[in-house]
Amino acid sequence: MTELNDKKSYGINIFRRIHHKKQKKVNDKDKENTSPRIILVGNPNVGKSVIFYYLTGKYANVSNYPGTTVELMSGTRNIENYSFNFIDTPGIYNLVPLSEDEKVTKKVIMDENPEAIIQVGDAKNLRRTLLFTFQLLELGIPIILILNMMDEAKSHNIEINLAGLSNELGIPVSGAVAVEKIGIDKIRKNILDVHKNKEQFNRKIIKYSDDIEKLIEKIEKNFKKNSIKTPISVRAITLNLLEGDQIVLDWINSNINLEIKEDILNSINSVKKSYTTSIVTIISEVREKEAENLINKYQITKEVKRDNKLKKDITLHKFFGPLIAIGVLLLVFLFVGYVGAILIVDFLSTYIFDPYSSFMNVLITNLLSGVAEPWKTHLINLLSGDLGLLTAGPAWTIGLILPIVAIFFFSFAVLEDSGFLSRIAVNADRLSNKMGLNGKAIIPILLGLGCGTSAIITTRILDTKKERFISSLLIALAIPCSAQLGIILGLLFQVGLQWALIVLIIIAGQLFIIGYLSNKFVPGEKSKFIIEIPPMRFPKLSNIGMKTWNKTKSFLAEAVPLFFIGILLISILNETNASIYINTFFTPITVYFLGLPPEAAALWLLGVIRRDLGAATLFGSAEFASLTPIQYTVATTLIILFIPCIAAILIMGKERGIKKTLLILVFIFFYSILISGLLNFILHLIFGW
Amino acid sequence: MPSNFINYRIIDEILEFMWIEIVDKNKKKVPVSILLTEIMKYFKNPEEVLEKLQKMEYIRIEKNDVVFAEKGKERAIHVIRSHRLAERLLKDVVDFQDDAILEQQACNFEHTIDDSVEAAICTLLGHPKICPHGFAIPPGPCCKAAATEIEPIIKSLNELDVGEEGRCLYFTSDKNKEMHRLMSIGIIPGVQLRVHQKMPFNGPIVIQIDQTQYALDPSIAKNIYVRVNSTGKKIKLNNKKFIPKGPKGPKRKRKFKGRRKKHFYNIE
Repeated sequence: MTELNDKKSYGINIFRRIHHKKQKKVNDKDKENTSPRIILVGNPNVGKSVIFYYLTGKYANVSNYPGTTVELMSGTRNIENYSFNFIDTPGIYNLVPLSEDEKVTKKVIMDENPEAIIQVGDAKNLRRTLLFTFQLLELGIPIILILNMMDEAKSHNIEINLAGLSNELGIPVSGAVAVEKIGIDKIRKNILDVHKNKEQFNRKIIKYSDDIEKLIEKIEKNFKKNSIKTPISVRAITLNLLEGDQIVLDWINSNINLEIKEDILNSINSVKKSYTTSIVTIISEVREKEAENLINKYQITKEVKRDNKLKKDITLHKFFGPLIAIGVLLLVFLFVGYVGAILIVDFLSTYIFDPYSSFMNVLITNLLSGVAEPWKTHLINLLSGDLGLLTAGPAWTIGLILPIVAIFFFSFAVLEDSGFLSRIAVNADRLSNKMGLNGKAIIPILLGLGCGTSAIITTRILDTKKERFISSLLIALAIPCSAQLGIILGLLFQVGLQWALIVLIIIAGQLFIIGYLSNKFVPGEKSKFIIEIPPMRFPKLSNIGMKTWNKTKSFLAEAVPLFFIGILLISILNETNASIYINTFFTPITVYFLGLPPEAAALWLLGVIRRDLGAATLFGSAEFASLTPIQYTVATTLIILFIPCIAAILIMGKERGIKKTLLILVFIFFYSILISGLLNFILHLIFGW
Repeated sequence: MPSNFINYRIIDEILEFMWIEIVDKNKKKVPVSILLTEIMKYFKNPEEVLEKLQKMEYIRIEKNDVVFAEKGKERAIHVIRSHRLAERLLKDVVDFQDDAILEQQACNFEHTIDDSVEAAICTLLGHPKICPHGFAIPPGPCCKAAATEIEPIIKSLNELDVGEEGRCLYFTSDKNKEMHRLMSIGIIPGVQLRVHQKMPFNGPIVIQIDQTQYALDPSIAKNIYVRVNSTGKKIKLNNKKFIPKGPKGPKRKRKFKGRRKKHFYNIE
């Protein structure tokens, strides 16, 4: 459980807890849960999370792109009178782990002692599903196979003989159309069946070449002789070791004494060496042959129907593809910027929050009339007015940030579920290569435009340390989160479109320059791009609504308390005159280098509490009504480039390590000031002082 | 151990040595003295070999340097090609990893292989241009013909045109991890692949297996070799083109026992 426990070891879990109040993580309370565990596994994008939702009533991130489930979700629910603890795992292709996701899944299987494993497979990709099933069958744990998306298979003219397959594999096999809630009852019934007659299934085991079988037998005897208990079958352990499984090797290292261990590893190595071809190929080919065999037997395909839609898939067109990707992204930002940041925000402030604030101002002044001075003024300023807890607090969080963030998450959900996100990744691959990343990195970076904190968590889908470091750096430096972006865009539109364009060019330039340079200087390797492209689907509104709701909810749970703390701090600084000292101290930078009013300094430092707060207060307070366009532009650039909010910093510390995080922060601190100062200088050169 | 007879193996070895000096190391010519020391490894009387080579019109001596004559060059190309093609064959198709054995086998290969077999192997491998050690494989007649009229039967995945289909044959990835990943998404020798799209600027290649599409980095696709499904285009294979042109070496009289030194020089 080291992998999962790592999450506990830092004291930062407070944010995580807020995030997933209802979605307990495996290592929290469920550790003590004695209900039999059922693990859901499967390839990415086959509908695992939907099935998890229907089985447990809990929401795990459901999307149409690989790698959404970066955290393990678990939930307990009764089927009839039996209680089961379900664990959802990230979508993986292989039980011999190559990526972080696969490592986590393998660890869960080895550590959680599951009663059964539910494999969710794509009915129209029976081959790939079966290749995975064979690996699962070898584990010696009861398996339940669900072939999901039977409707799509049907539209490809594919029919599967489920009963025959079930018989041959010796496991319950059922079909489902999870998004339509079809086949869920059958899954429940199968789980109960497995629970009641644990040992009755005669599962199919693939036989490999003689020397591999002999090796398995030999190691089985060895384990038996020394009465070693294993979490998965000895057959699976042997095969996994042959294939070079690090997790199983770790288990061997920590659970078996040296002598036996060497004996085992030696015999495995000698078999490995006796093959001139890589043993992985040999094992895979046996499985492949068996899969082919079963497909011929049980898959009835009336004339293979090619995906004609895909042939004409313009989103993957050589030239139109990138254009469409850029167009769609621009559309999303216009949508967020106009509908979210202007229409809804204006509506809310005119009809709700402006009257509300004036009402509160009067109310609080009246209520506090009996309090003695100087406390009266302090309290009035603290609770009402421009930066009041009861006025600005709700107005900014609900009237300003909530609509923007919700609209962004809504748009992102549409991108995910339609399958367009993978296409953006494909189109962005070439450009990302220059920045030491591959196309997949566009997913966390785009998500960073929603919320940097969750974006940094999502960098886990990237394969190498270098990629994770670079993408974290870029998200922290050049990606404004949607609340911040909305506020800034809204204001810049009012100042003038050309200024918004300048900011955009500067920020995009930093993204590429720093990406390019870190590709040159950050040691390590870029992983090669392999991504599954799901078919374009019309997104289901209920799923999108649920996703937007959940993401917005957890965003607010994290943001609102910090926002209020931030406002409180600003008020206190103002009331105690501490802000004057801070502003004086930073005057050389703010006034002379950046050309901004001295009041900017304190607000920036508060921007660390929440990035959008920095933006909101900066542009919201009265002193800034008189800012010149150049000052607006410089201030905006600095806010975007400046170090991210405290929640993102904490998550980064946990994900990237304290050292790397400090490095990133120190770099960003100086670099953002430098760039903004240069911008100030250049703009003045062009437009005059 | 130097041999007592001049046999074709010795001639081949010397021509090969000259090729490496002249072509791979780009020296234009080989000083006589250096060639003589090289011959000493195989034969105790080097001058005799040099004379014989001249008489066979394999080499010319210009002042103190040796250069290829027309016939010698042809023979040298054949030897080098056979050697490096053999290496490719063993490494890529048979997936042979042990370098020492690979080298030894390739050395035996180069002397015994016939021109038509050489052409057949070359076609099978898709007319490769470099050997596993990174040296150029000189193009043979089959490669020149391939450029104009013959489609190679085996291509790497990124050479397939959009819309072309093929059966996956083998990978030449140097990384176990990469290969493993490919296999786990179902790219296994034997499956049918279809190139759906190639993104511009050497971008990812979108392929389709069964009902699933993947985008692959071109550097991964390069390592996947497929047998292209015949597209209705007739593949012309005119065997006459590959009839050996150079004279065959003298008949083998005796087994060559000398262990030769490592064939490739590290140019650093």
